[in-house]
Amino acid sequence: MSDFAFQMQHVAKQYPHFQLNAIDLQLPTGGIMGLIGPNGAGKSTLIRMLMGLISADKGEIEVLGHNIPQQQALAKAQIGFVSEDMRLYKNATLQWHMDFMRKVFPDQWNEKYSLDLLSKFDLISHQKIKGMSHGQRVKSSLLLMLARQPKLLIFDEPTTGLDPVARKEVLNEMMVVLNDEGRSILFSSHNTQDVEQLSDQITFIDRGSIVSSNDKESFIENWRRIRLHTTTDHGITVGSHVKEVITQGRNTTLIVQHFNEAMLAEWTQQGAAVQQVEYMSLEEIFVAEVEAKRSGVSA
Amino acid sequence: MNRITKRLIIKDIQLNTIPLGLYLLLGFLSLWLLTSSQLGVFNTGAVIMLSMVIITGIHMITTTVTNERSDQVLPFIMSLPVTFVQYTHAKICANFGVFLVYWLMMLGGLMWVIFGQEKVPDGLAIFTVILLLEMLVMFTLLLAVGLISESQNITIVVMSVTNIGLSLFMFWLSGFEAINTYMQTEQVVWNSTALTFVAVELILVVVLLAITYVVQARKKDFL
Repeated sequence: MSDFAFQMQHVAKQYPHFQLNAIDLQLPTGGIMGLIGPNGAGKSTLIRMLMGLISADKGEIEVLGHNIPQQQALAKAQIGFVSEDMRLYKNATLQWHMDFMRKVFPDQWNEKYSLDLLSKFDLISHQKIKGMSHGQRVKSSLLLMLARQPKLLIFDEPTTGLDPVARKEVLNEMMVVLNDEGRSILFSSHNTQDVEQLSDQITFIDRGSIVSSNDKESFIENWRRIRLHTTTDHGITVGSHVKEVITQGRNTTLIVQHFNEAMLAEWTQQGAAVQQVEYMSLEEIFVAEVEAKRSGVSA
Repeated sequence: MNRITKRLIIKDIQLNTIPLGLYLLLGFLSLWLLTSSQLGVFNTGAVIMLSMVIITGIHMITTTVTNERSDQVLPFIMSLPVTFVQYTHAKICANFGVFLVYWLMMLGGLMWVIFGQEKVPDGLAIFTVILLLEMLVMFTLLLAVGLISESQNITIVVMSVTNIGLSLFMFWLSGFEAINTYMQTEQVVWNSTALTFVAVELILVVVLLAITYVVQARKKDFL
């Protein structure tokens, strides 16, 4: 059995106005990876490649030990996929979909779990899909996916467009699933709060390239917002680890990557008083990482 | 054919049971009207019959191929353990299977009307067989376009063109002396012209299906 839920090596895909560049990404079995990127960054393309729905121009993709797209059917037997743009048959009821999935996955379908989810999500099995709200449709898709107990769960923007209550219900159920350590999860979103809540590994993607990929704690530990007050008219000198400098009079705010205590001592020696050292939110880190990458590319 | 492909075929038929049942009833109604001795009723039956064959085909292709994509149900289906080729195979089997059963029932019914009714000349059987085969070709073309183009707009355009083309085909076919000479007689003559029409139509059906499989198998991106 492979140690990785999926592995992508040097994967590239060229479109007329967009390209996915040399993607190297892997998720250890049992890991939970959050994929964060702005709209059009390439998150869905990357996910569709993992599902075998889009073929890479270059590179190798392996999912649950199967080569993609050649062995996609074998891999997809153990992949549960829910995406924001996925819809069910509008003229059929949820019960019809549940019966359909039970027949497609007779050995995997957990009837009891499906009924538990039905109750937990407050869904009506004999209701037609076209009569459901967006939140109910997402929860229905999630029910159909979870009740067959796949080894790898792939969520492509599942909480987009959900009201706060439905979003919390969906996230709560996803967190319950996370307790099963044998399951691996890839979760894409542009909502960093959702990803921060669920993931232990974060990957930032922008303009078709992986900006950075690391465990959540490392990201949080790496970045700081530092507020300084300079006592002289001379500014302070900063190194390449300072990604952004905002100056207002004698007050300076620095966005710092690869933070360490020695940096504070250095600025203090230059005559600055350290007023505050703050952790940054994942959203702020994401923006800083992307801006740093973009400025690096354009330099 | 694997279990999931079979399940996909059954699913497409299940989801369309009610309209297909209705079209079948209307098809049988048209056959009954065709037994009438009144010309107006007979013509009404013929129009309903042709319309039902066309509508059955269009309904299946629209709901199971083009709408599945435009309604964004395809990501759900393609998340199941199927490949592009298995998906294509399921669509062709469901659509072609349903249409062929309906088509054969209507063809059988029409032969019963032609050979069972004194007032209807037996020679009309040749024209009827060729015309219904042309409808089978048009259905296959439409199915191929729907699957290959993945475009609702293109499929609608081809749908319109084939429907206009069917009327033109009827005029064109009845213009052949080898065909129209026997249409109003009691003789059923399978001459070389008639056999050529049948052979070309059958070859076209096979070629269109083969092209669909080849193109779909070569596609790299499906969504």
